[in-house]
Amino acid sequence: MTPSYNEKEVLALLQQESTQKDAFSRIVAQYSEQLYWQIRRMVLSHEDANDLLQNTFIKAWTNIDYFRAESKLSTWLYRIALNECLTFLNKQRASSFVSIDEPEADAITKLEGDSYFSGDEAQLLLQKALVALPEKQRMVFNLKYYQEMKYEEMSDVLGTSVGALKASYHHAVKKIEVFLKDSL
Amino acid sequence: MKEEDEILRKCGNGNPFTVPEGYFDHFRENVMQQLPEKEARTFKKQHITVWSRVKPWFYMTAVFAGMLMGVHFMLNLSSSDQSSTAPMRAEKEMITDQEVETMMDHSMMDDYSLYECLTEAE
Repeated sequence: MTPSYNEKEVLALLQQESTQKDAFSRIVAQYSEQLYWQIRRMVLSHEDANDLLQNTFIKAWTNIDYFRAESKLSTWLYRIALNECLTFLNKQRASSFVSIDEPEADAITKLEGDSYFSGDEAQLLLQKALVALPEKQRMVFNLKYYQEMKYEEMSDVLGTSVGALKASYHHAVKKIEVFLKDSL
Repeated sequence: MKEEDEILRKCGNGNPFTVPEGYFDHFRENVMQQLPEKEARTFKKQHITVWSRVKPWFYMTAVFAGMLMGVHFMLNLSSSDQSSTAPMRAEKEMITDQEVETMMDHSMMDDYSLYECLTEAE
């Protein structure tokens, strides 16, 4: 978190045309890194994550006048970013020529050869387990496990009840545990 | 959760992904350059004419008038059909009994067959 960032101040500056772009620039500086990692954990590739992150901020800028501050700015940005991820992954799956039985095999093969992946064998195995999960469940796992996001905030971001999110996380953990047990 | 602890123990929750050097340093500048220009928010005062106020009522009236004319036309058509049959009925009444007998003779129908034919026609 940059020391100069004050959300109340930034939201006030967003309301005026003369200071709107400068305020948005501060938002980009504040949230780009955390949004990037969330996107990257979903799409795995740096190039794809970069494209989606840029799209996220362009969409946010285009719709900034409609942001009503009923939710936190971070929640709103996460929502845009994760929707971009889901749309991208759905398109990727639809246009992929990989076998229907193992669509994640292609993603893992690419990850193994990716120069921007520096994980060890156990971390690669964890990524294999994650890629096998349904996308929304993977999203829930990533937000909780890596980001330690509270369920209440996750509920705002994903539009799912806290109970359903807890159940989803619980099932994800069980599946991953079984996968790791069988593989190690 | 026990299973979560197991995953943490085996794999940790460190970040296995990396980015090109200086990526985040330049990201803000790159994105700000790509942002589309926003159109200036101006509100034009629209001049509302009498015609623009009356126009919807005018079109509605025209539609109803057209529908009424259509219904009237259809009704007239069906009643004119009825009146055109009147001369035919009148013609029928002018056929004499003698002419009927002549027609019966020419048709070579017996009385029973003729009776059947007439009752079916009615």
